[in-house]
Amino acid sequence: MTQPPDTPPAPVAPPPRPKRLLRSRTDRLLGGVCGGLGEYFGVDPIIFRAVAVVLAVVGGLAFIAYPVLWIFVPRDDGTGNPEPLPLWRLFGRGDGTPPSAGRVFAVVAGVLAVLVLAAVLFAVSGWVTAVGGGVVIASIVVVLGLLGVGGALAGRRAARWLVLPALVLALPSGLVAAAGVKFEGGYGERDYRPTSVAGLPADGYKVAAGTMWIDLRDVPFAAGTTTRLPVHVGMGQATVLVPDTVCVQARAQAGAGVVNVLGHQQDGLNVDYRLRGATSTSPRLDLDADVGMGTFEVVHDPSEARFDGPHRSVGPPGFHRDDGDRFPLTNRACTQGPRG
Amino acid sequence: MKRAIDIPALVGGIAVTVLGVLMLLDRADVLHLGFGWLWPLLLATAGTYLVASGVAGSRR
Repeated sequence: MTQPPDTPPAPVAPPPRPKRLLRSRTDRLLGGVCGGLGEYFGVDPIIFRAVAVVLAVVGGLAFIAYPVLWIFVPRDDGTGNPEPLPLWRLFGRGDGTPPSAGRVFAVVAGVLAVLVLAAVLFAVSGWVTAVGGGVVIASIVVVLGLLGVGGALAGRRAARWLVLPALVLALPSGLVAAAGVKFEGGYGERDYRPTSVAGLPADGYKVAAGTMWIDLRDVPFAAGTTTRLPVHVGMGQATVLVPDTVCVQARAQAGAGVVNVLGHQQDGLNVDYRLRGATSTSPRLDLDADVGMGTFEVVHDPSEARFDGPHRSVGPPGFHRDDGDRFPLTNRACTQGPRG
Repeated sequence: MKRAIDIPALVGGIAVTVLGVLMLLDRADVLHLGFGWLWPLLLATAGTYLVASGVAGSRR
């Protein structure tokens, strides 16, 4: 009896790998998240891309969900296995070895340094634009863009990073310009109490950043006259106290904030409030307020003010800013004759 | 050896240049970029760059 020759065992197919969500390496527009979801669920990724666009436009959820998936879902290494997460690669060496304490410290310090630099650039850009240097910032953005184009044509991959400082500069500059913030007139708290019409500054009251109270209750406005008073606030708050014998006319513009003129309030972006229609011969005060970001209000009495200021202590006990509707403000001097 | 053009850097550079030119025109009062224009413009710039990076990356 002969022994059958040894035959190699039939190859056994490896057990199927459990299906795992990975970012796609090949089917991607941004980070391969939608492509990976499509492969995972076995559907066309265009469905997830469409949902992402809808979620970005309606409520903006995609702006949070997509980066989270981008960071925490590993990318396909090309063989169906996950690559180390970008964060792990940042701290380690990309080969799965654990990071050393020195490298962790270096990475954290580097990230903090970049964030501080970005914050400084952000603040400087906004400030330079607010003091009238918006052209400089815009020019720097153009130069960064042109350097990026030049670097790209030279095949320099590092030129991609120029987009980041350009956006960090453009964002605050654009915000400040859109809001119309102009830093004129100093900083901090201002408390003005003129006692005559001649004492009102011809170019108005200004504060670059801070709070300003303008108490006009001791100004003897004459019947039949119109006094124009510009008020400019870069960032902050201005409250104007006017006697109730004066008819208030106003145009108040705010890039972003609140305008409250004798109880009539508008808020939001690009506020443009106008109060016109005087019919009486009462003295008129024509306020022309320009607020970049902040609040502007006109009241007869400090107790009616909705916002804090140096005169607020004279308000009735228990008053707080949400009680504004308790004080029906009027502008009756515009429709009634002058009173003694 | 001549290096190949880096497409993401090119697209990002063009987008940033366009953004800067629009800001210059705004500062020169040729046009007005209010809040309604600002956010879409910045997002479009960043989005254009990201899409270019993604497309270029998927072709490698």
